[in-house]
Amino acid sequence: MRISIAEDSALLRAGLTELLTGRGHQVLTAVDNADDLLASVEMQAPDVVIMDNRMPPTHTNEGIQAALVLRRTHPDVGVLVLSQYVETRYASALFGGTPSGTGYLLKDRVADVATFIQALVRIAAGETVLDPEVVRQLMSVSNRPAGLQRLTPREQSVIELMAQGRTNAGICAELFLSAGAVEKNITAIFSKLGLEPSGGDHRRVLAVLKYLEHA
Amino acid sequence: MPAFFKRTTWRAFAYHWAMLLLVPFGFTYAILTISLGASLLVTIVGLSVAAAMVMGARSWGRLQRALAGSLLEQHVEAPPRLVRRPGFMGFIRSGLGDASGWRALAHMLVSFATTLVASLLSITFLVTGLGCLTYWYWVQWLPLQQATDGSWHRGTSIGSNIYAEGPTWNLVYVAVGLLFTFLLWPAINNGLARLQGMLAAGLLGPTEAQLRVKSVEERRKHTVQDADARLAQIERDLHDGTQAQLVAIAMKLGDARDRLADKDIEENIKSLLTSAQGTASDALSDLRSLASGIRPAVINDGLDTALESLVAAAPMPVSLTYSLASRPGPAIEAIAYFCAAELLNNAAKHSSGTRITLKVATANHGKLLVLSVLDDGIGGVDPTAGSGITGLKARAANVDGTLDISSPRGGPTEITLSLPLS
Repeated sequence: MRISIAEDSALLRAGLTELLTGRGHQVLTAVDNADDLLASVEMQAPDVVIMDNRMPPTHTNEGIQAALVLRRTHPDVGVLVLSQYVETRYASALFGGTPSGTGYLLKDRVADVATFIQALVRIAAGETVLDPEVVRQLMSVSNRPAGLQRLTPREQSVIELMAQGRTNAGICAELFLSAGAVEKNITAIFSKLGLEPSGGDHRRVLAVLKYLEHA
Repeated sequence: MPAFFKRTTWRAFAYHWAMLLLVPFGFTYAILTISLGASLLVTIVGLSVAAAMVMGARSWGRLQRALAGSLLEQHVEAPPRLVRRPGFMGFIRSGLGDASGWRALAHMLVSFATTLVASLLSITFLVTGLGCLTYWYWVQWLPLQQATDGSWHRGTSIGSNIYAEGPTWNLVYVAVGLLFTFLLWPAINNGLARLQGMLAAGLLGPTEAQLRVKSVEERRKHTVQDADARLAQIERDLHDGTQAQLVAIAMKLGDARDRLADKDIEENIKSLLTSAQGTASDALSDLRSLASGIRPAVINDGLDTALESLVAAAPMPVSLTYSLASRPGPAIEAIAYFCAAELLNNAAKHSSGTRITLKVATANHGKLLVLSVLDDGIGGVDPTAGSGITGLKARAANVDGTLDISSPRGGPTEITLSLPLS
């Protein structure tokens, strides 16, 4: 993969570069602010960019802002926003438009190198990656829309995993369920959310979006 | 230059005239306040009328300070702004307890008497002086008077059978006129104006105590802001330094573990790496909750954003209404955030309710931020039990805020935090 990085901590910038190049990926640019990264994307067309959320000048949500710009100007470039904290508003801003090719992860997740790299691959392939913590917050009692409130605990864990971008097989493994049981749960979720059958994966994205838009 | 020709003298004279025209209104207002207030005192309406009139007296102070400032160059500092407490009873209490309003009323009464004396004295001395100066001219229109010896005279009579006529008397009058116009009148006029200015300064400015409170308040405000800025700095340093370092450690350990996964090395070395990585991750999440307890970074992005995340993470359904048009200062935002966090936590833990309503709005024409947390639980919150509520009260009091609790047994509980916006 061709990857660009914006991260204001020099230590992490170097660490990420080392980690990714060590696994045969190409780090095109590693800068310490969002503006330089946006400028470099024009020239280099990376597959995916990794963006720290909190960078100069205001140290609040530069990463999310730049990600939104990038989604608009370069929808084909995947964006992964890394954040020290999970903020509901940032997540709904980030996923409110077109969530494909977008990711939002807690910074700690880079420690699980295999999963982190896998997340990057998925984002580059146009999938959505959500931190489990983000999902937990978005699914929290205050945000849950009416349809989602009728889900059973089991169905809830299933839709949470769906939102994190897991496949049916991934959900089976995570919840120790048979493929048939997962299938049954997903059908129940679709019907509770009022999603008519119209071709498998399409409804899957709609179900995930359903609660994102209510966040 | 003689004082007679100086601007200040004539401005002071204008001041006397302005006061002469104004004091009847002030006097009437004061008498009206006292008589209305006294006769209606037993009724709640009477109290509110009196409260409004005491507060209204501050306008007199404002007018008088402007007058003294522009005509006497006597700068009188304004007393501290009236902080009106919320609610109807708050209105009455703040009105009747408004020392500056009462002092303005006192000024209305006292200045009525002093102004009459001062302006009349000044006018009399000036008119006397000018009259004597021009005596030689207007004496020709005086009526003829007959002395006891039968002779006719034209001139003012001074004692029996002495009439001021002829050039000598004219000269005497001019001399007296000069004395009054150029020496006595300016001295009396300016001296009395200065006394009037001192009266205004004494009654319409801030008292010693108010000045001291003001300086203490300023200093405390700086302390609170300083402390908030320092906490924000500590949080930033933690984020930029320790947290980044821990992430880097965890990442490198993860990297090493990943690379060694399919290598043939001792299993306990691998588990060593795994546990080291786990420890680093735990440290990270501990540090995260520590840092957000110090001062969540998201507050920098606005109280609304911070509260949204807080509500989302709450263990109970919370509906949030946020209606502030502009952002409060960072210290106020931090206090509001921490109080909201504590109150949501309390409600979720102790209220046995099912829903919480969190509202943030302004009151008193944008001078107050009001944050209220309402739950449909069992009520009976004891404001003295536990350090939680007491701590919040102290936190609010740091910036002259208040925390009011309404929690009848059986519910509902509403806790309202009011913080001044300046």
